[in-house]
Amino acid sequence: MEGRGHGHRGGENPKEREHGHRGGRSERKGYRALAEKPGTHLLFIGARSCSRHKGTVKLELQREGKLTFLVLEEVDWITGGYLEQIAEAAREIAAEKQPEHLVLFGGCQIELLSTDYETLTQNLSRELGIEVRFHKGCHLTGYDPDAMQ
Amino acid sequence: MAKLWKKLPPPMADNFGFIEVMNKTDGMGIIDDCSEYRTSAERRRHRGADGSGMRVVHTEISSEDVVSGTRQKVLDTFQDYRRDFMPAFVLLSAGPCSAMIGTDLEEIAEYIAQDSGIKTAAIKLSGHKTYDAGISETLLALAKLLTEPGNTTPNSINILGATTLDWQEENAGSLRRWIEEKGIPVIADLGGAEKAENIAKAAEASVNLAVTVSGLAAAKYLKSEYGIPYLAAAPFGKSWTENVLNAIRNHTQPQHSTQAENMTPEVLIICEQLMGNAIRETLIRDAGMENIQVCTFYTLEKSLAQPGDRRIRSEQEAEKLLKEGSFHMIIADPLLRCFAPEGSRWIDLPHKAFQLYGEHQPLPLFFGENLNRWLDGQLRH
Repeated sequence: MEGRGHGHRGGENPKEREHGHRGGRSERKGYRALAEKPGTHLLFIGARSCSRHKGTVKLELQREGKLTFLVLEEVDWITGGYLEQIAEAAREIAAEKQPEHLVLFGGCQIELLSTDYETLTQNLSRELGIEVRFHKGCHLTGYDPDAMQ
Repeated sequence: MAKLWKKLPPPMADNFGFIEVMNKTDGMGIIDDCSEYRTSAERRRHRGADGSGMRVVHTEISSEDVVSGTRQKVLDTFQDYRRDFMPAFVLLSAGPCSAMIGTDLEEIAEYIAQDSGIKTAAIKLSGHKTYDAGISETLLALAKLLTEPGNTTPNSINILGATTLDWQEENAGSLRRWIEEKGIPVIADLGGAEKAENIAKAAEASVNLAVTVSGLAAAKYLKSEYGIPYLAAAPFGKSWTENVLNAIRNHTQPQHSTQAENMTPEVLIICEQLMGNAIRETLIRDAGMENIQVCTFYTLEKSLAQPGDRRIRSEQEAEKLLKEGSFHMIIADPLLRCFAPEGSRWIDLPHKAFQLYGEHQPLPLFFGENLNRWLDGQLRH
């Protein structure tokens, strides 16, 4: 069997990483930072399992009425149908919640498929008449603990 | 829109069912995914002195691995952790990303088994199905990987599918002892705390008792492979438990009460199907109620369902069912109270799988007459 350590992110030992866990984690706002601007609603897009990543803050935001989950199936990714599902979800949220800003963010599938979210958000902004933007920072490309991207 | 979850957390994913089962064994689970599936509390426990409790690790794949493949990451992860876990067996599972790029986990499992001599298999999960499918697939894999032919032990059983995600710790942790106190030896508890050496002896049982729908796939496999009969029922409620214990002795499925096909449901129970069936039977047999509908967000086994029972597939469906039904009484997880119609009696039935990260109310012991006592208490309020 081949040697250990190959390909681990940053070459660090996974067991060391568990203990370090980026330090000062509790002071970071994580996804909450995305919803700080008044009138913002978050739409999380992903597989069922991704909905529980950073689950505590996501569920808190959902309880506060600031976050909605869009849980997609394998067939939605494979066929490209997820793009229309996102648009449909954005329309429904815009109609019901009437946010001024809609932030889309998601699981790794959206990155894996090299989604053109610039075009997606531009089209939605134009159609809905609100600011729609995409927050990059899934676990595949590297979770962004300060939600800066 | 059916795929939107606005007020309820989306039902828990299959990977969490895999983790739940694996953490109770002496095996090791590897999820090929870019993120770990652990709560903060579990991470803190892992940092503790003995590191007990966690038997599942993940490969933490990155965007480069999506191009080059994740095979090496799986092998590296196995090597990184095998000395810590000293696993009796290994199960591999995909996460959403590795499922999408089609990592051949079966080939990797064969390689690990040949190279290390440790029994290894891959299971088909992708993070898209619900937790009960994860438990079901994992129990089936344990049965296929570990059980060996043996001589039947008279009047003995295997327990299949009793996990804390459905029953919480008090019920799931004491079922084995409770059954053995009834004079029925338990060979293996698949889904509970169990060692591979006992699972290997599962073919010696006279009958299998699937206590949740998640235990059914393993029960069907053990029937087809070793001819072991099975029954599917949770031993909750005075009269229903007597039926279940008799059925265990007779190796038959206990008979459910019949309800009229065109009845208008007055009582709604939303939970795991076999728990719902046991509560319904208790309300019918011991409390004289009727017209009771059981619904679940998870697997609904048609052969164990009554007319009108159904699977709820979305928050939208749940809201419609609760608001438009004319139920006098609803027994369901407290999270669903946000859709409670005015004027109906609500009884909280906490389902841990609904609230992985949030606080959840404790579920009391339900075995035998304990369920009757709990229901009496709830109905007196």
